[in-house]
Amino acid sequence: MQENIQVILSEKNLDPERVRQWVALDTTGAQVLFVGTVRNHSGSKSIEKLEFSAYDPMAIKEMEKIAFMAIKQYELTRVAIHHRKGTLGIGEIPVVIAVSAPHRERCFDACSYIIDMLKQTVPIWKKEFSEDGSIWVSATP
Amino acid sequence: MRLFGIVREKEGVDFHKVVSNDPITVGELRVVLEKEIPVISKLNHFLLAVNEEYGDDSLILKEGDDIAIIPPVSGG
Repeated sequence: MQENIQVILSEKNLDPERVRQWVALDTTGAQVLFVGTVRNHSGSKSIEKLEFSAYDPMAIKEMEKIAFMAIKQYELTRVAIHHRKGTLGIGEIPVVIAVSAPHRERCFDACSYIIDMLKQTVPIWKKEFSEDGSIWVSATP
Repeated sequence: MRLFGIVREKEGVDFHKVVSNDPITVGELRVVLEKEIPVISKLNHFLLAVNEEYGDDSLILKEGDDIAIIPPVSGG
């Protein structure tokens, strides 16, 4: 992995501030952080918890590809993508993305690009638990 | 090949075996899997990963390739 990219797939709690600090080199004047959290509802259904599972080595590779493309396209200084595996309750954090650059202009778009791409290509799966039972998100119509 | 997500859950195992005497492509294997694994035909879509990279339907599979069935992803 390049020294300006950090991709972590973790079973432990994510810490957004630590992720931000890793991208916040002294040469950067801006860091943009995306924090995803577990919402208590999905449509009209009340959610109890989410379970995340992954094809680990490929998930890491795909996140690295996204980070690499973002750094080049948006001329960033550093990119960090952290994603949790395991069971998460309401309000817990499954994903943190941090980007940094000398100036802020491209950081917002970069962060948005990264999370959009992550949701499309990274082999991580989310199972949603509610009082009606459980479903694998987006798997079937 | 490796199973994940809803496919792994419905099959109850981590791996599925397919034997082929002739070389086959990803596209051909996908057709076989749709017949062999019932839940696959219920999915919105699915992809195959070959050696940890998404495989085009035209990709010819080789002995020793590490194949995974990738149901619709939902990370983030």
